[in-house]
Amino acid sequence: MFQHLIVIEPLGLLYGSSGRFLSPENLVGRSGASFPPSAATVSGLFAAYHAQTTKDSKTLKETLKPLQLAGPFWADSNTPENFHVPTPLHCLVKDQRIRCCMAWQQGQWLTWSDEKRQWETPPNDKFEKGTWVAIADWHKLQHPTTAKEVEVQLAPWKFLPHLHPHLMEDERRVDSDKERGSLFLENGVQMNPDACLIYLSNMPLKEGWYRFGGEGHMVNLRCIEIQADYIISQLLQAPLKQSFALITPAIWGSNRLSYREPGIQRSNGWEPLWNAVLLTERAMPFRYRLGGKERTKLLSRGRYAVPAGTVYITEHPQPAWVDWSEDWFPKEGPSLKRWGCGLALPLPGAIAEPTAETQGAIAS
Amino acid sequence: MTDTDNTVYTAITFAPVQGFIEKSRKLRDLYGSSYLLSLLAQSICVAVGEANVVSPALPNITQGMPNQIIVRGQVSQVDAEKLFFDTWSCITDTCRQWIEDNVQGNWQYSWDRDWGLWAKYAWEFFHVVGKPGESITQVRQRLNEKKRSRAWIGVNWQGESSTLSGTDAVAWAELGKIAKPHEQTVPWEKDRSGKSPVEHFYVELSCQLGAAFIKKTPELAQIYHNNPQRFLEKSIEYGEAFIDPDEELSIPELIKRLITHKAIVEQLIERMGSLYYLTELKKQIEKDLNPKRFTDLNRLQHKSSNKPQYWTGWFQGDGDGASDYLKWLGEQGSQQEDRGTTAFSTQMRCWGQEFKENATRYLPNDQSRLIYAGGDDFLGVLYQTDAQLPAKDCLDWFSTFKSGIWEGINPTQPEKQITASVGFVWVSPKVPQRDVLQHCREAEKSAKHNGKDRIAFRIVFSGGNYLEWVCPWRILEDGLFRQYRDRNGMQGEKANWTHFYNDVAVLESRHSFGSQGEEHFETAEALFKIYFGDANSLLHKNNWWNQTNDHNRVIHAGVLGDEKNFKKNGALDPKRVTKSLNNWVINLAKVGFHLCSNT
Repeated sequence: MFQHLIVIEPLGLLYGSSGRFLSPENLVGRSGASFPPSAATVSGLFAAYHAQTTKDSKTLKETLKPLQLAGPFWADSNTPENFHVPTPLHCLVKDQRIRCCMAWQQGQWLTWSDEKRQWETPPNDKFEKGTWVAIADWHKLQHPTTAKEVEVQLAPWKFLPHLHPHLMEDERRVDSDKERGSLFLENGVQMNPDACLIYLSNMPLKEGWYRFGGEGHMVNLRCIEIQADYIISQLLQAPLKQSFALITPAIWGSNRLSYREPGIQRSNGWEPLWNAVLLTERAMPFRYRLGGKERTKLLSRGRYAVPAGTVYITEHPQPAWVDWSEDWFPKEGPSLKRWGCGLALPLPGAIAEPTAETQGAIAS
Repeated sequence: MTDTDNTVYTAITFAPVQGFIEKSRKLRDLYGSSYLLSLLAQSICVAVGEANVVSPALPNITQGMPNQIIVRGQVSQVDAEKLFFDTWSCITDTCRQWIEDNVQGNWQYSWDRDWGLWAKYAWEFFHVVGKPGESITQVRQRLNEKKRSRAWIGVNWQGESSTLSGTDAVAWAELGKIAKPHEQTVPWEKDRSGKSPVEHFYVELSCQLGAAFIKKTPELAQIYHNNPQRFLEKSIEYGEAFIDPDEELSIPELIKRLITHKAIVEQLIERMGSLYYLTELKKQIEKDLNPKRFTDLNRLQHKSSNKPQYWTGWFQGDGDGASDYLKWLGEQGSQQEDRGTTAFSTQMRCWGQEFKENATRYLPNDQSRLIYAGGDDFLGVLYQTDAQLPAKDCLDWFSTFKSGIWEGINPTQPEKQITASVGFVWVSPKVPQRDVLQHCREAEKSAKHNGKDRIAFRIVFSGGNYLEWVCPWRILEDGLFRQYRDRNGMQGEKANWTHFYNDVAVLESRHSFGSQGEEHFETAEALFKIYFGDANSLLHKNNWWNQTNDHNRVIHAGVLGDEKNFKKNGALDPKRVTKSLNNWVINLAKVGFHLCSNT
């Protein structure tokens, strides 16, 4: 169970890139932008820290075995316990306001109309993506009326194209190969100085400065114990029942294929476990560097993740995320549950109650 | 049409479309992906019987086939899905087979399984059959509902990823042979010649594509067939137009490139029979993507760097609020909806076809080209091969874009039901292709976001920073830039934009437009009047807001766009208005300077 908040305050510019980190071609341009770093990156930070004090790799492995993380989230530096998580996709956001919430009712997604006092088909419009909500507002998302009060936030970072000298492949020297010019464009990320990145962890980590986010960039790291009265600790313990939303990307499937929900591999194919109805988006690539003795870490298997914010309505009630079976998660060395994949919070409001009750709930 | 009220409609679509197009490094990728999307949509239309297709109209136009298909009548999901995936497998098999037959080297092909996975899982397929009496709008709505769950299955990968997208496995002959994670780097280990097996594969693949191109082009084949040395040199050169040996692509990316090669399309025709849309594809490829004529615009030309490189202009646009119009049609009764949808689709497709087919007639320069035009979507590039195309020429061209091209193509047809938004990006030669495309998309979005029926001008410098200014078409047409008068009273060609530009820079540095939250408009307005005439009422309140008709078509575009966007709790937010007006003037000075200065 998560007991600590890992608070990371970046100093200066961070780099955001994805895919083939080492190829200069891939560092060029903004298309490969990937920020904030995944929980797997933070796990590398734990490994690096413990490797300093642990002599043999076997002990190190034992130390890190129980490690479990989740993220990325972000918060205002003054209130790390009220961090922001991706807005569940049943909220239709426009101009940073939740216009309405969809709920599943009798085989379709509907939205509640306050004026007409009835459920209707969602408006056919374009809505904003990639917004965040404070965890303290999670309970408000449950009801169509209170959801509208929730303030939606934009991410506190922006991508900043940044000119760099081309370095030689094997030396830290400017490559003056005139043919392509000695400058290249890198995708820097600038964070609001009052904001920090947040990850959940079940192990503490010593406070201090760490290298994080590639290219030896330094960050300030704090570790805060999760108190029993933090809203997140209550939410994490609650059973998910039949409707919930992901606050981190989820990875499911076999070594060969990634799916939109966990399942079991049978001789005649993949059998979904939840038979879920989903609200989701395009798959996003999910990859990180694994351990390994060499200087350059090995690449993990490239997989596709169900994006954070995805809402599930399952056939049967589900337990809290911490109680999910390890078997549901693919394994790559450790189970992918270690990176907090598919961390879900209950979202009872995503199922519309019978109309009379709904009105009662809204009236009360 | 009899008893339309009981007509059943089927809606079919597939995904990803945007995601499929956006991973592009070369122009060829764009062409390739748009051809593929058209082919797949076409295959569905043919399969369901074209007479029953309500939208897209004119299915026998192969260009820019929209990928949402509305059919009158019931189409079974199993049949439609099978036909769609049969076409796709046929394309993947043709590409794989061509490579295996033609690209030989010190390797054994063991990539069948991966090709098989991509044949099965590259697309999400969506299909909805309406109930009797349900309107097209309702069926469309249900299709959108279905898409909310998505339907993807991801193909995982090991080893290095494609250099183009950064995801998906690099496709090469022995893909899938190595299972152990620790051995995944083996194909990238360099041999004595300094090349890895994967690199050898791509060198050979590129060269064979070039060789096949020469063999398929009689006039080239004749010149080189007796001279193996020259043949090889030329094969390498032409091959690079398809795949640069430095690139390492995934299977779907490889397919996009190969579909633009006539030898491969010929094999596809052999496999599928001579369907008219395949024959049409072959013709288009010979016309649009002949590497002999295609070498003039390769933005990754780092190998021949002694050639001077020039700024290029890119424009991307589409119609505004087509969905508002279709929704409005839906409210007019089912017969009118059915007929109106087809009429609208016909009008847009005729327009797209004419714009594309006779692009040279419409573009400002005979070397410029239209990459894509289908329905209301278009993308093109303005440039000159051996000289700098003046930015001013582009500006002049856009000044008549709405009247001359958007409304002006097929003038016999009734007025368009929708307006157009365009993003124009004027870009330094050092900016990579895919960033150019991203800027194009963002500029188009700006034009829409700022109120539709307008163009967003973006100047992108090699450092990646940019300037942007958004302007309604009518203001360009009214000759805003001609009205500019510099401090010496010069107008037109001789006007010096530095004056306006410098004034804005100085005033900005002194916070003369006010600072955050405390902006005022007097300075900007006065400055505007100095350079554009005292009588110019462009920034007057009457010109601020859009006016729209009953289906939200903008009939008179305002400088600031949609009034709704400037309201807070029902009342106009004066701070936001002031800020936007100030920015409009400031950005006009900056962008105008870059577009109009002759230096």
